[in-house]
Amino acid sequence: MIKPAEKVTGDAFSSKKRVSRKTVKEWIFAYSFLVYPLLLFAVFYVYVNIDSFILAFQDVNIDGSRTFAGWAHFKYFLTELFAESGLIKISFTNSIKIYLVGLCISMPLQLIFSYLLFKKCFAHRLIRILVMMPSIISSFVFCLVFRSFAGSSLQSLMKSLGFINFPNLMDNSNYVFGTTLFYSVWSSFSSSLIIYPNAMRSVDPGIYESAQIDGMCTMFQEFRYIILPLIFPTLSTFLVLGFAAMMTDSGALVPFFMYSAPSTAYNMGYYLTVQIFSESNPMNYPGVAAAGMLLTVVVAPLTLLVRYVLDRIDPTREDGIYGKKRKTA
Amino acid sequence: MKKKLFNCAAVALSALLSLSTISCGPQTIKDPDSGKTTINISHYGGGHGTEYMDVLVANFMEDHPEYDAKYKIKITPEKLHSGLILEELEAGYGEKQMYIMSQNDFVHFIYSDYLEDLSDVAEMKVDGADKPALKDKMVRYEEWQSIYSKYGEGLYAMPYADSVMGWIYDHDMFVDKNWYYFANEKDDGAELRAQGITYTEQNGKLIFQSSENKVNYAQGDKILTAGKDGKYGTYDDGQPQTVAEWDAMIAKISATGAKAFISSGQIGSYAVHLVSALFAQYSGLDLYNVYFNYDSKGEPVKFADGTEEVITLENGYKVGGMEGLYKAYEFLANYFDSRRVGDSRISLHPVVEDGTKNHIDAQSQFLLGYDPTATNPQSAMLLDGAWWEYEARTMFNTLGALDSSRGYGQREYRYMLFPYIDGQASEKSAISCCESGAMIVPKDKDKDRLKVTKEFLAYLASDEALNVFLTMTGSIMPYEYTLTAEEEEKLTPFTRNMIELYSDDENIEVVRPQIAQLYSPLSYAGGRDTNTYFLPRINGLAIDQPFKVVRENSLDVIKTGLANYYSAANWAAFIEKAKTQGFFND
Repeated sequence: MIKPAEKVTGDAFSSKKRVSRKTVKEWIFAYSFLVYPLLLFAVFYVYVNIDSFILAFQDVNIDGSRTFAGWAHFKYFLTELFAESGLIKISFTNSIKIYLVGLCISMPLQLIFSYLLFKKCFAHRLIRILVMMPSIISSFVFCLVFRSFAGSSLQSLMKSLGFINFPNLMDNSNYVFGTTLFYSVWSSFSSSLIIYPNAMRSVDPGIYESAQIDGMCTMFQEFRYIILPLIFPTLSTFLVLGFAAMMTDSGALVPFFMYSAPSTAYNMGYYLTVQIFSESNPMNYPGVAAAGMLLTVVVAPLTLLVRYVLDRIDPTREDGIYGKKRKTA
Repeated sequence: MKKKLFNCAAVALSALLSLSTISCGPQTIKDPDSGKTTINISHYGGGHGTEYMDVLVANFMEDHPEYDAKYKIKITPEKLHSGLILEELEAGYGEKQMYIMSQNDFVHFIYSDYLEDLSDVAEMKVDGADKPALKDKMVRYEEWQSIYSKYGEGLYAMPYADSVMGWIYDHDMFVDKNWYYFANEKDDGAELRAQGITYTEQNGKLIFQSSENKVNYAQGDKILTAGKDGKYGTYDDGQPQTVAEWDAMIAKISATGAKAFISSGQIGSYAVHLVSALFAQYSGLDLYNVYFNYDSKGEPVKFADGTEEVITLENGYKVGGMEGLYKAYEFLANYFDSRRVGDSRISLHPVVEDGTKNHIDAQSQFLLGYDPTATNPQSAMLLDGAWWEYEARTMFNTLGALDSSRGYGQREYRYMLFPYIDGQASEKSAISCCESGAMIVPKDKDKDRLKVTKEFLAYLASDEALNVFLTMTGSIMPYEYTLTAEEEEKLTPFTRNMIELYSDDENIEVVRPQIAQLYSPLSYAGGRDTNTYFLPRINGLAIDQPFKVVRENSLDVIKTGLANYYSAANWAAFIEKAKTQGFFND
């Protein structure tokens, strides 16, 4: 452990010298490990982001040289974003939809399932295995199986049952987004069903006993008034991370389709991924850089705001709204 | 002591990790085993494979023992698109001396000064001093040179494969199943005799005996109708000539329980080449080219909505509305709009709509279809490129082990041409080349090595090398050369038919949209999309799978979507951008 240098008085000069040498050695030791990740951070994060920032204001010419472009790429992105239709608009809208579905449908379901697992409901082991499948099996394999089932197999089955016009859910432009959204809701269970029940287990059992004495007798009451407030920090973490990744998360589109997903299934993360990985002309890179910057400008402060609000309403924090109310009471 | 050792180990480990990052730069140019200077060639690992290159490298080194002692040519099969190649060139990573690519969208490499000028290679006479130089062997050299030059100067790429894409069918199966149109004495007798073909009649069908000229019948074969070229004994015999005959053929196929069409549901972009061929056939080559060069030379162009207008650079965004393009989609909709339940023309193998099935799956299902199952009905025509037979050789070998008549190169496959479409301008049939790749040489400071690289590149276009490529892969490189009878004998029947089709200038128009999209600098200097030709934009989204387009949208929506692919505002921006890059300023 690296200790802070001791405050040395005049008659302890020799001690200072000894401590300094030791500190230097410790620093060399520590930095010998840190230098590599720091180098990577400097090159692949700091440099890349600075370059991306500069690139957003530049045009790349056919000979690879760059010239100042002002706000042109930002203007283009915003025009496309607010256009009547188009890939950027659809990608942006789908990203918002994915986040809202995650927030309003996935998260409540995850919490309920986690609570039921925590309470060791009927067949809880089987449920745990089923929802953990996407994590146990390679995601690419699982996506392939899901795609095959939701695509041609389901279509063949429905046709054999007389639904002649049943569409291929993984191919039809009208259904593919909904199908991939369903998959992302389902696959999101695997990690949350580990984290939430563990958070629930960390609640002191004495609290439940105390609540029962106070007349709290239903599972819903226990869930609403004890579990939710006490695992709020965990929930808060999920909410903040989810919000931060709203415009960068591409979901399962890459394992499903590589870079050729139907346009209606696009989200912002996938749009940027495709632009970067399948784009062959560097003249189009500045547009992607500008898009990334604009999205960061929107999402980063909102993420901080979300975190601030969640911190304020965190019932477990003494300096939050509820904490202050408790103090006043 | 222990502590010091631990500290030293930590520092050493850190240094090693840091050095490993730095070592990601140019790799050693010496082969570690032989100590020879390596010439690294990145070869697109597609359907042609790279086995033929091993033969060519061995042949080249045998011809040049002086190089064999010093150099080792190493072929690396990899699927690099031009974006990744650019990254390699910028970073110097990989230290490759040649790229053999399946794509053509790399013009910006030339202007970025990454590539060697190959004008000297084009002047080489690799087949002998009395034989033509490479540029004279090159098919459509002027076109190639205009695209791969730097403001008209130099030549920075050499053409690679020229692979025909279309409907492939089993000729033997079509004969056996009676799906063809057979010749009869009343309609064909006089023409057959005029062509010097003798025959006998058996159950109303004509049986081939002999011919004064070269034909593709053997004694005892049933003679088919002449096909669109009007000649008997050629690549298109027995094929439907009119849309009515085409429809009747599909009905005949469906009546036997088979499906007329099979194509990879995953690689929907293959079908773009059907649109390409239909468009070229309907409109003719000149109008087809207007779609790409935005210059109708003062002639009005007819649009799908009935209006006409002269196309210039300024209103080039209107080309999507051209009548011929819409007609292509209209034709496809008749056969691939699976919503038309009960329409006898809709005869699709399940793979067509299965997004999980790639081209290899489609090939396998097509080949296995001779023994149909509930999930894999027999299919008559596979949408694929010239490379397909070689690419599917594993399946052929498996089948050949069970039944030698189904092994690689045993059965005769042919391309099915589209019928005459009502109102088509061209007298010819059209076929579209899917892959029109290129060979490029990055700048090399080692001038001795560069010389060898260029010589090897020139050798790749020699008659000897072209024959090896053709016999081993079944595909063509766009250079003119002749085959001896012995060499022709080595080809599979499919390749022989394909060459006959490809070489029939009188009746066949070969179009290459991958190349044509580069006719105008807008594609590489104006920021216009590349590889997105012939597509409609529906609800603001470009849809790159024609079969999907027709099965999800009405023809009216498609018509509007094609016409609105580019907006006037975006188009003006492309032109402005290209002007800043030094184009369109004269």
